[in-house]
Amino acid sequence: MAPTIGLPNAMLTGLVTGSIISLGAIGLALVYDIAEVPNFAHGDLLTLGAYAALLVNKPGSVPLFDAFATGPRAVGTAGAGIVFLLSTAGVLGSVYHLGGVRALKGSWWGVDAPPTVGLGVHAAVAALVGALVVAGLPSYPAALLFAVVLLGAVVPLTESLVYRKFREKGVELAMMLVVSLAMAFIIRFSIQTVFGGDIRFYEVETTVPVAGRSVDFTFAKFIDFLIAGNGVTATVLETRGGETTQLLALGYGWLEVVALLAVASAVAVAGYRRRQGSAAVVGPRLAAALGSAAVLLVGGAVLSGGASVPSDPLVSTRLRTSPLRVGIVCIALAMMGLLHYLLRATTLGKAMRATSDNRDLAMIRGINTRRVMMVVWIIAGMFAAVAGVLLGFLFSNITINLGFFLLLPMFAGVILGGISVYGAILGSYVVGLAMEVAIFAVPGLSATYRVPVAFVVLLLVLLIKPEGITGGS
Amino acid sequence: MAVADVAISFVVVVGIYAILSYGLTLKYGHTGLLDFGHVGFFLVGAYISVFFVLPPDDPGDFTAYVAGLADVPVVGNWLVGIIIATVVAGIIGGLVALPTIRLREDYLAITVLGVSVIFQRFVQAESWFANGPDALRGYSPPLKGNFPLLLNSELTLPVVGGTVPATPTLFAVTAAVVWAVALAVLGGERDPATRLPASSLYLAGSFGAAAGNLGRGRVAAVGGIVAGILLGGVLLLADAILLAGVVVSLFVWAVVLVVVSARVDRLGRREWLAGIGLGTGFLVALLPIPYAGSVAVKIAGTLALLTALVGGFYRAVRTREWFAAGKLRIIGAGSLWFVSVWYFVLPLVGPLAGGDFAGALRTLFANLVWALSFGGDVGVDYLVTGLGSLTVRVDYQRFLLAGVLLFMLGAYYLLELTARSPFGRVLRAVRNDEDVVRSLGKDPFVYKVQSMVLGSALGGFAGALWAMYTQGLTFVTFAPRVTFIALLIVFIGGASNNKGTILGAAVFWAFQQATTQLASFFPPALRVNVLAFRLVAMGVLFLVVLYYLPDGVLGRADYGTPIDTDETTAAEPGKGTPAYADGGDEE
Amino acid sequence: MSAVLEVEDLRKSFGGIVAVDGATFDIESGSITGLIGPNGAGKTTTFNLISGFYEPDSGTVRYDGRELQALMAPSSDERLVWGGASGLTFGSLGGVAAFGLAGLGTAASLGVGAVGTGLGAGLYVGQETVKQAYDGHKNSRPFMLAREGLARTFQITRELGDMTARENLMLAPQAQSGENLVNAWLRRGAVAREEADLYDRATEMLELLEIDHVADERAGNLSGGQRKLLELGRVLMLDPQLVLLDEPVAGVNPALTEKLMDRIETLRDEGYTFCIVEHDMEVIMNLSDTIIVMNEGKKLVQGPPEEIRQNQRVVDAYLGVD
Repeated sequence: MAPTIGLPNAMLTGLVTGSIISLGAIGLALVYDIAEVPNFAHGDLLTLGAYAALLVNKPGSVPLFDAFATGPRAVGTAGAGIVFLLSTAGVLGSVYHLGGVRALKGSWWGVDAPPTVGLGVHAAVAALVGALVVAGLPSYPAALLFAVVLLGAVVPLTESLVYRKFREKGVELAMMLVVSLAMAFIIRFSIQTVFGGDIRFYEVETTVPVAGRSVDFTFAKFIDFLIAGNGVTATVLETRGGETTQLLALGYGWLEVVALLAVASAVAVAGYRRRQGSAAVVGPRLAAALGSAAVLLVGGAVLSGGASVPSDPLVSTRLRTSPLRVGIVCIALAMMGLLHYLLRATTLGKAMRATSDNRDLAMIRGINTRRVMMVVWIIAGMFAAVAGVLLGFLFSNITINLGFFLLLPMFAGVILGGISVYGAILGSYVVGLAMEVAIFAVPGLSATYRVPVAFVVLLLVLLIKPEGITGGS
Repeated sequence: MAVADVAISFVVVVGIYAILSYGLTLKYGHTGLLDFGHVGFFLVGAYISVFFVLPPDDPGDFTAYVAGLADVPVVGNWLVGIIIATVVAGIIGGLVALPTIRLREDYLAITVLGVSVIFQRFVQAESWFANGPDALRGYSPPLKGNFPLLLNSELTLPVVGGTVPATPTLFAVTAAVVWAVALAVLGGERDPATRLPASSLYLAGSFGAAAGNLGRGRVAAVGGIVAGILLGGVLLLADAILLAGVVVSLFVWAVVLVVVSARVDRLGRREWLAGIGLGTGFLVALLPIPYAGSVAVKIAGTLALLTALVGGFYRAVRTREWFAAGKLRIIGAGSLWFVSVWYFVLPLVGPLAGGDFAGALRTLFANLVWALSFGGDVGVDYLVTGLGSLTVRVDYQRFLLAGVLLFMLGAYYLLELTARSPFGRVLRAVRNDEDVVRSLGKDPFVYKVQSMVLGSALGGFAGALWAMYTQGLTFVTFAPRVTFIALLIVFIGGASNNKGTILGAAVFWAFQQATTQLASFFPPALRVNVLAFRLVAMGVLFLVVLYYLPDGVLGRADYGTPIDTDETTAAEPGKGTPAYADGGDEE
Repeated sequence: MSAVLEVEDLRKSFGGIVAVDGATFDIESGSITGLIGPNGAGKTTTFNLISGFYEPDSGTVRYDGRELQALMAPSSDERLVWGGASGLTFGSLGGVAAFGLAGLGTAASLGVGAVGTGLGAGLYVGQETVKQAYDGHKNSRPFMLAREGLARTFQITRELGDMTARENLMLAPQAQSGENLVNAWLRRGAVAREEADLYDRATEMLELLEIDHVADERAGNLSGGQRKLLELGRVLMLDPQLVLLDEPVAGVNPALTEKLMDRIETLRDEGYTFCIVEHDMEVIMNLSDTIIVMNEGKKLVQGPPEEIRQNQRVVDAYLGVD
């Protein structure tokens, strides 16, 4: 008998949901924290990203732009030229937001460089990105890249055209909330004005060659965890057309399990000790986490063996997931790592943290808070694009409400985390786990209640601690 | 459908949305509570009220709902349903407020938004509660069976038993309410300098009651009741529904004329001309939509003309001082001009172009006598010289109009009363600075909760009216979008201005109605896009209002107007309305 | 003379920074007490603690012989409302869940609802008990103190900017029947008469403070000095027993300062008690019966103005000598 799907599966799903929420929540938290806009339009930025990717992925289905399409998924020279221009404009636009023409000449680099060098480097990078997108037409990665660079330039526009104007009038936070609500309307329905009401989806080549065979990474795989008297076994299965094939089987004796866990915790403790008090990129907690994860992965690979599936396990549970879902978690982690590096190791990141702590003080200390704010918006836009394009692929249907449905969990995550980037990541995973576990654990609670669950968690936490889990008093 | 019918359903929706938005006016405008979940109480009100008028659920059919009390005596009717719906919405508002209201304003907004989403998802997911994701139907609005009014139907009296002739009774009720509302509005327009037409109309319309020492509300009530009885009596004696309709319609037109002319007096000639120019320009800008052949020309032409119009307006504001000073009044004059042309002139274009002068005259007459519905198969036939034969009836919309108008005015009065009382003063103080209120021995929390309860109850009341109006409910209607619209309405007129809310509702629905009509000139495949575009326009309008008119079109109302001490000290308990609870606010 | 306010070993710190560090002093009934000290001495924090705006870390304040924390405790009515609301919420949610999610019958669902109601009310009572008895919860409900006649002004004026000067004053008086919504709607005549009285009282106060010419001006448009006066007027409209004034004459012109001082003295003679924080030494020395000097969160000395003037420790404290 096959193991049944249980709580671990719900938690794994929660991890995937949490990853997507956190990709959006990071941008939301940055903007909330540093630009002081509780941006209700953030969900719709995800939607915008998802639709922008269609321009590359399915140019034939985009109204107006379909004039340049030579087929559902092909464009002529003119169309490719437009995509190229938009991509380069996206890159250069992002740079422009950092301080106008002077930024294009390299003023934001922090090192003195001749203007021609600055211009040249920016132009080269822009051309490279444009070429990458055009070369990749109409593949999914190219679409993702296109959406990211486009939103990196478009989203900061909302700051300079709208939010900054209101900030200069000194409106209160509640009014900013209302302004962003209006922006949400404008963005969401602008998309619908162009794209109409049809449901869209990406076309992605989903089979990739892995070790000599082709694997469809969207197809669900089953991972069975079996605990028997002599140890732990994990098997990876694929079911296709009623036929189940075992892709992989890993067995560990009890001794091996104990040894692995012991070494992992020892490495974690050692890493934590070594890095204690360090404010560098790899702090104590990160060191501990990375160390133990590495041990588990390497050790698990080395020690695997004895792939006999126990016929009568004591405990068994099944995880249902796909490489795509695991990949989303990985992408999210990678992007978080990137952001972490940016915040900890670069001058820009330090300026961002200083501005977050105290904007006036940062300004007095000579930090260009306006540039910092634009950086925040650029990052928010890029992260939103990634989240939107991933979400559009995962759900395989893109509607104008795509991002709005995610807005509420994102807000729940950000507020839970006390409006800071790291808090938002933590909060997003809490919300994601809570959503999936609650749907699994409470009988009669249908999937419609996902978003309400996020809110109930938020409400409960706010009742006990009105400033969020990581916030001060 | 005649333009008058369109206008009447327009006023009905405006009324319901004004009441809904009054909840937010109280919460946000007067107290400073940003309730992004207001739609939740709208939903509660709608569904609760409907349970009182639905028949018991039949397990055999395809619908399922938790309760249907229509067959229960005394309880199973709209009156009880609306009252309970209002109360329950208020209680739920209070329960939501207790834990959330001490949060920061942005947290509060997001949490209550979450609560409203939970309500919506609950209705969607629980199929036993209100038919789940499918529409809940199977009830009809009160007295619907008696309409259209014909001369020989009977109305069964509830509780008392027995029957009365339906037509005179219901027409009398409708006319009385419309008459009273018109009088109340007219009463607010009286100048201390007493312009002759206004005061003689007021005196005549109230059948002399205005001559006595009565408050505005009582004059309106007396006038309305007398008018209702007289008109009902006429109908009882003769088949004179056309006459009765003409009388009511003309009286309202007279009031409208007086009110409008009072406003017109404040405009200079050049402002008037600019306004007419603006209105005409707007009309011209829209011409490509019905008349241009290709979609591209429709869109491009109208957008180009509109851009030119807005650009010209902007330029004039920038370069002409008098224009900048009177820009809102000019827009007002332009709108008035545009609406007049739309109501009176445009409907005549069709018949006149066809050479049908009698038809044009009939259309004009039908739009003038708005209290009656013309045409169709059912109704009373008249032969009028110069117009030909007319089929006349009073349809249900007109009855609903009277009810909604009455309720809207009631909500307005309630808000005025609240805002001008010491209670309202504390609310405003809470909005300004809670610490001060605390230092003065008042607990802001108590006042905020009361504001939430009252505001949510108003939302619930509006929900019940909405259920009555639409005769069917689905969860989709109660999306967060409704809160956005209510907020927009509140901000257009001025967040803390009670009159502004009605204006805001009118502006919003005028825009909505106009764009729906324009969308019908586009090919069906493109309508989704056009309708989406109007929401974009609405968002832009919202930003423009927030940025350029943060206090709304009507500006801040002064609810702390000093009391006229002479009048106040003279006021006896329960006698008349003290001056501070009455009129006295300004444009 | 008896002490209207007894402060004993009051302490408050903010994230490791000790603002008030064991302040102990009394304020005599019917006196004017000056509270002075160098910047950062903890005067305003002390004010905030005495007026209930901050919860103390430890120490007691007795007003009129009663402990502030007891004065600020929620009334039984409030507890009833909270307990009832908690019960109602849990009860209805439980009932709906039983009926809808678990599919129980009507009677069983009602039963579950009843159990939920009990649970909700019990939860409220339980958490209150835990909070009070084990968590060392301190109340910060200053409005309860203002009702008892302990009123304060703010150092930086907190005028209600959107409201007129007169409205600012009319807001203050206690127990206005029109602040009850039912009265505001149904007993309009009585409320209107009360309002007329308040109107007159506010006008008198404005005349007294010589700002009656701006009575109908929005408070946000007043000058700094006018705002100070408005703030003073507002607190006097409360008819308080003990008034804490935080820099009442900063920014007020000398002639009016003189008048204000006279007025405060007259009120003192009528039985009001004042405690004043003020940086203008001239004013505080002339006005006060007793002066308390604070330094680094503690009381340094207390005594009549002449004595304080000559005290070497006070001079040292102001000069920053340890």
